[in-house]
Amino acid sequence: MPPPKPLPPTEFIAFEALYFSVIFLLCFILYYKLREVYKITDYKGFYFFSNTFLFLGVAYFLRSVTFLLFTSGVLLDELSFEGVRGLMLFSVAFLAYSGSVAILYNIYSLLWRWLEKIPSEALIHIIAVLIALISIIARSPLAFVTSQLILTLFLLMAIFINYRHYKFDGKVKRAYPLYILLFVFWLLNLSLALLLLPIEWRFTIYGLSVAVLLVIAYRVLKKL
Amino acid sequence: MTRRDRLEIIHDILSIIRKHGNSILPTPLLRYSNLSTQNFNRYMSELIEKGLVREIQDENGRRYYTLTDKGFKFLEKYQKIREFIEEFGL
Repeated sequence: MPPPKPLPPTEFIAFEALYFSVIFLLCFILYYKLREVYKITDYKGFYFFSNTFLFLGVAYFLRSVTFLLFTSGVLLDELSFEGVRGLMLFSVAFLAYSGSVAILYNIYSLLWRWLEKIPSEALIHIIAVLIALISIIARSPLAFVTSQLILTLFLLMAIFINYRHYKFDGKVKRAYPLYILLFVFWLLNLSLALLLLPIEWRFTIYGLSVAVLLVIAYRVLKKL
Repeated sequence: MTRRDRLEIIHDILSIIRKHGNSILPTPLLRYSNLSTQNFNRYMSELIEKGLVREIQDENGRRYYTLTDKGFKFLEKYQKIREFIEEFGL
C-alpha cells in the first residue's frame, strides 16, 4: 500500500475553502439573476444559461472536495486509505456528472434557437451519467479530464454554429471569448485538483478563474 | 415582415397597454397585438399568471387590462434583455 500523502497545511485548506466560496457565490448570483429573468420572460436561452452556472457551482464544490481528498491521503485517522479512495471515486463521479451537465447546458443555450428540433433535456443528463460511469470504471482521472476536454471542443463547435447563424449588430460586444475562457479555466481547475502543481501556478489559475467569472457577473448584473 | 418571437410578442402586448394610458379593453388589445384569438387568450393568461398584467372590472362589468409594477419593470428592462441575448448569443 502506498504511503498516504500528508494533510495540507491549515492555511492551504483555508485558502482552498475561500476560493471555492468565492466561485460558488459568483455562480449562485449568476444562476439566481438569470433564473429570475427566465421566470418573467420564459425565454429558454436564459433557462439553459442559468443551469450552466448552477451545475458549474456544484462542480466547483465537488472539485474542492476531490482536491482535499487527493492531497490529504488520509482524512482524519478514522478513515482508511481504501475509505478515502472510495470517497474520492464517488466525488470524481459526481464531479464528472455536474461538470458535464454544466458544459452541455451551455451548448444547449447556444444551439436551441438554431436546431429544428432540440433533443430533450434528458439527453444532457444521460450523457453526463455515462461520463460519470466511465470515470468510475476507468478509475483514472485522465478519462474524466479527457471527457471534459471533448465536451469543451463541442462547445467550441456550438459557438461557431451560433456565430454563423446570429445576425449581430456591429456594436454588440460578443461574449464568446468568455464562454471559452470559462471552460478553459474549468479544465485547468480540474488539472489542479488531480495534479500537484507548484503553488504559484495554482494561485495564478485561481485568480484568473475568479476574474473570468467576475467579468461575466459584471456583464449580467449590468444588463439584467 | 419577420415572425415575432415570444419575447417580442410579450413586449408588444405590454407596450400597447402602456400606450393606452395603462388601461385597455380586450377587443382593441387583441386587434393591436396582431394575434389570433386563441394565441391572444393564451398569452394573456400567461401574463396574468406571471403577474405582469392585471385584469380589472369596472362597475358595468367591463374587463380592462392594466400593467402591474412587474409589467412596467419588464418594459424598462426589455431593451437590455434583448442586448444581453445578442451579446451572449442565447
